[in-house]
Amino acid sequence: MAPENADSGESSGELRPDRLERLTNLVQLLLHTNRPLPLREIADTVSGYPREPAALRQAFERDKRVLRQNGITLTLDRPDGADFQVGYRILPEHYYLPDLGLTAEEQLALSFALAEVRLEGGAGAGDALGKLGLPEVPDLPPVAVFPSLPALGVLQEAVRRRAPASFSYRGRRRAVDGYGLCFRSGAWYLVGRDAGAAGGELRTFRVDRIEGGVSTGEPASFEVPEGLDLREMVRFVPWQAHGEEATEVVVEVDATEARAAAELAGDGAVEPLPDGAGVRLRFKVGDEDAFVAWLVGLGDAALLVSPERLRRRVVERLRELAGVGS
Amino acid sequence: MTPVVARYPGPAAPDVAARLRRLLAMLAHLASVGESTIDELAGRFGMLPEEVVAELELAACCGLPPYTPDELIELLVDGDRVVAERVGELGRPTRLTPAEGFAVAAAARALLTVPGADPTGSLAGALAKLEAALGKDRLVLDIEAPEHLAALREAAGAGRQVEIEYASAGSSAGAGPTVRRVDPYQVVVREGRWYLDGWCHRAGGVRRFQVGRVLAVRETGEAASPPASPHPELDEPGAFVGGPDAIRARVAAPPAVAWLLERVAHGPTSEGEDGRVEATVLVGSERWLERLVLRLGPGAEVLEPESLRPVGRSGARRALERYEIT
Repeated sequence: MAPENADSGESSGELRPDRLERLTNLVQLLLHTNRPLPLREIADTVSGYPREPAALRQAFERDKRVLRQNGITLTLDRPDGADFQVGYRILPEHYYLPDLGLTAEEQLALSFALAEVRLEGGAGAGDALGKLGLPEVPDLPPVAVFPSLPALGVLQEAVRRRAPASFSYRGRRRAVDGYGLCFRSGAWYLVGRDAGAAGGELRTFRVDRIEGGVSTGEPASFEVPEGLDLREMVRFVPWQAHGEEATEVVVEVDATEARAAAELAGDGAVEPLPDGAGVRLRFKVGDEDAFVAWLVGLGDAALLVSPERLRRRVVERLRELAGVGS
Repeated sequence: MTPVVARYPGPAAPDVAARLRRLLAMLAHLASVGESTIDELAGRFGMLPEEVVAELELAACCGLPPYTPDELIELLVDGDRVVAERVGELGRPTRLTPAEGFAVAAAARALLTVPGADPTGSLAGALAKLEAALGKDRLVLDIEAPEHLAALREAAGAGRQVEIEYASAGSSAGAGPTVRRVDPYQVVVREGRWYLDGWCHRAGGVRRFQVGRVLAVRETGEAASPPASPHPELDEPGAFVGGPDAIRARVAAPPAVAWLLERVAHGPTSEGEDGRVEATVLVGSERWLERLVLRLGPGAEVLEPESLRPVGRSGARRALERYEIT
């Protein structure tokens, strides 16, 4: 028997049965059966599988992968009375969309959401509209546009099912208990605990920096910590540092940058400057180096009022950048 | 039924996973509506009419063992009309794929995060039912809530002209905010930030304004007559409408601040011969580039274009002046 072609090969030969036919029959058979079916029996029933055991195994693995891509999981089980053999089936609850009991208003609201929010690149809405029985709505101008990435769907599924996600990140393999996904400042982040890292600290992973694919483990493998604030986890505060003495700083920021700076300063005191010239911020800083680097990055839109010690460091850094000898 | 010889030709043919997804969706849809037309199916599932016919022909050969006519899927194709006689196991929608589940949750969460959304309305109700069936989505989208958002959204929605006071990030040193008369086209949140797209009478062209930089809004009492169709650039992913002076620059920075450069990079970063990280950035204003270089700190510089190489140095000098007079 000639080896089977890869995934794209099904269109090449006129005589070879279309692989889609084999897959459609496979899905029906495994849904219909009330006992797990051994691979041999599947191959004898569904036409289009190679006879030779190694080729059969390979072809079946490929089919399983296609089903998985469509969110269809096979259940591997031992048929009653069989000691060695395992069999496959598709449990209805793993295949069919559960009845969500959406009201007509709720369906309409989801239709509008899908029409007004654009996800660009990556995970698309696919046939969600049809599956959820949502009414079609006219083309609408977008209210929100977000970038999307292929990995987001799988990560989201892992978060929903509390299944560890495994992927490569900064050159290292990670196994992460994902607690949530957060979009902030133009990027998607996975918040979770890296089981492999020492201490297993809470971390954020930029989803667009994940290298290659994401695979997931057993569902319900972990609990999400109570009271975890995802938004707070990905808040970008350059000078935040734990376990260090905090220094109080006073900064004046021009109107153009005031909003962004005040947001970073958080709960610190914000006081407007006269004549709408900006704001005066008073807040605590943990990592002084990071704070100085950030402040210098505001250029002439910011002025460090105090403390004097950090003021000297700001001037020093500006002199270096200006190419002025000190 | 018409015999179909044609299979999908060429490399543009969808892979078998996508075809399976489409076929399962089409069969579930047919089973729920009972009867449809080839054209309606083609439109709904993004296929050519002949593709629909070919896939339905294939489906009609599928079924359950012993694959006798009474165990096969039965579809009646009569001219343009399609009647689902027996679809069996495949007559109900499948679970959402990870990508579909993500798209629906992200769209709903995004709209619910938009300031002014009803937290107890139909959309929130729909989302709660999705979560009950699929697990908590734990999806957070950080969307800013600028002061003048509501006024601008209302004016844009009702097609009324506005006059805004705008603190442009690109205004040159010392120049204050500008007053602009704008015919709004749309108010959209892109990557978490709100923008007003409209015809700017002052600039005589379509412009994108950051709502967070709008200092005041006044309706002029006139109807907006924005361009009939949006500026083509406005709909592109990551569109940047910075006026005629928006340019690309090449920036290099030490590896220690690579993460910072990655945040603003347009496209991937690369490593230069000297070990520094290099990236292309889109520059809306010299001021922005100047601050980026200052933020990146010593060892960072603009490589191209030549004319912008000195921005870091001159920015540092201007910032120093503030410290020397206070």
